[in-house]
Amino acid sequence: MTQMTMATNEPSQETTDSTQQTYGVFAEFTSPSKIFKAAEAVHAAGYRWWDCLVPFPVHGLDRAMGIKPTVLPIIVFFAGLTGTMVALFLQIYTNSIELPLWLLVPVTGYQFEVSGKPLISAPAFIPVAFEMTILFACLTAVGAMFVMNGLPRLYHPVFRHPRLMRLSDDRFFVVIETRDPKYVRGETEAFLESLDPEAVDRLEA
Amino acid sequence: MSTLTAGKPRVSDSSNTFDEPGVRSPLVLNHDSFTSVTEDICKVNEAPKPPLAWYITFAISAVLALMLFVLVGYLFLTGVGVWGNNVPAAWGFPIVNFVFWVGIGHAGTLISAVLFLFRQKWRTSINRFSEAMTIFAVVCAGLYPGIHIGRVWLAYWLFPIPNQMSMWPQFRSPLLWDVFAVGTYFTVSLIFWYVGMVPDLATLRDRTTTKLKSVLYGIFSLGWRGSMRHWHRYERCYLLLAAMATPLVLSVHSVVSFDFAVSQLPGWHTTIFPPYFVAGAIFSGFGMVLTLAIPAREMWGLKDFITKRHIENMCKIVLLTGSMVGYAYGMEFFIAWYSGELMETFAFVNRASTEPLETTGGPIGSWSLVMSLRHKSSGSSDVAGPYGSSLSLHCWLTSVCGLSGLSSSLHRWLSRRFPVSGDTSRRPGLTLPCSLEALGCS
Repeated sequence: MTQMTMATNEPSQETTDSTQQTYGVFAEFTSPSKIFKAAEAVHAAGYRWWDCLVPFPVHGLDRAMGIKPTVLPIIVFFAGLTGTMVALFLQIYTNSIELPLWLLVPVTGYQFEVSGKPLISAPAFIPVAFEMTILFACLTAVGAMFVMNGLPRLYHPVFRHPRLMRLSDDRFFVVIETRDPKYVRGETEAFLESLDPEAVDRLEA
Repeated sequence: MSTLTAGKPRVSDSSNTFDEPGVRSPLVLNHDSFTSVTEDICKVNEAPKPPLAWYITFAISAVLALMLFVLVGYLFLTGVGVWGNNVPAAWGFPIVNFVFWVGIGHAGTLISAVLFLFRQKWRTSINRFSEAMTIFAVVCAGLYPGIHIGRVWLAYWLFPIPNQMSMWPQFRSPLLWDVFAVGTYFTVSLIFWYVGMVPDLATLRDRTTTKLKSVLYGIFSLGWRGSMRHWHRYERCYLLLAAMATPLVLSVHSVVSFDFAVSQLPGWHTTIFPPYFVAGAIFSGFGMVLTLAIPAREMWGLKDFITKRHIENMCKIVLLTGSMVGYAYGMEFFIAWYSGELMETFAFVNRASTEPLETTGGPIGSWSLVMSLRHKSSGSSDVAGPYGSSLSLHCWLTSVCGLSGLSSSLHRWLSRRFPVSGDTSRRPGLTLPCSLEALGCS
């Protein structure tokens, strides 16, 4: 597997405890319904640092895992509002008032008089304000989504295990990290085994 | 990896066109595992060499693109007069192309955003390449405002950049609205396309066999690992994008139509333009999606994914929007007569008498689809062949409807070069079926 080998040389951990070098354990499942049941069991067992790796979004799995609704829509709303304000300011400043503003150099608006229409003609400023609202909101939605997801992240322990190459194809994985307070070496593996998976294995950090 | 289950006979690609209450017709045929779908989709991308037809068509396209550069160079050196634009206030040829290309792009966004909001699951077979089509169409559209302005070296005047002359764009002009609408539309289309593609790039990354591909796909998939916690935000983000792209796509062509409607020219100064332009955009855009989808499913063996049902659904949208365009035509003529406005009446009578097919071509193109829909409803597979080819013909027709503006320009050019004396209303062969874009140069 040539997966992202360029980034595998992480600073070596000088600890000798083997659990420190193990990222976690995973269980492999073959269908959405199986991972759904497994996720419910892991959530009920009280684990916190765990995840499901699935090739496509399994609807309802986020609720079964106990994931709280994301704050993304609220961020996007305020980004959209910012877009509206920026666009209105831009148009009114440049087309309706002559007020020097010092950025690096003096910037002054210009009062366009077009057939005696009001200088601040709100209806004419709506289209640009609308477009800028959409632009700010969309860019923020995508940017915030990736940042909150911690992406781009070009190396991750799950890329190292050959079985997990199928996480983007047709297999469904539950991964429990060793840093989870409930993780006990041996017991967690046995717990995952009890969920009727295809395979259970460790993930090296 | 076998894509077929042993013992199960292959079903034809029109086997899911039934409509039975209570029975959900399958969206993907002849596949019963996730991995067989992955295999069959990825093999298009992972083929070591494209088919010969690709080289031929690419060569043709490359020659045409080269011709574009030469002609644009000629345009820059000579001026917009080379298009026959000799009035400072008229755009002529470039706005026809601009409106046409922006309109083509709209189908992609409609498929990716509006059909997503309506939970039309069949969209997933066609949305990615429709979105790609959108992006390239908007790039083509953006070319025209850039090169039509005469002094291209001043193109930056379109943007509100602080300068030593204290000179700002005039924000009350629809042309400035256009700059912002098309700029936003391109940006949003691009990120919508890319966000949708990230998990698929991760699939390709996990299947690569060479180091270079692995690194490149790894970078472009941003380290996507299918975490459900990520999927949760990702889905919310995608929903938000769809919810914002829907009003955006409607606004963009409305703003484009303001270029005409806000002017005081008889025949253009009408309130019907925004909905009329949007319907026409979706009409010609779906014509283009069909034009691309039908050869693609044939060449890459994607008939199990883009089934006859998908084609049929798209045809229904073409039929609907084509009828809306037909209605708008009728209403334009009615209002021209009903208003009693002399200039407007003259403009429409003049257009109708010199280019009669223009007013009927669009609706004819779409209504002729009824025939193929009726063919399908008989349900037997022996009409599948003629059905498919007749559909291709109709699709071509609908695309030609979109090309109307161009044909109309050609018509005008020809009639200037070779004036026909006498009855000018009979010129078969010069007029092609036309749709809304004809307005751009009439």
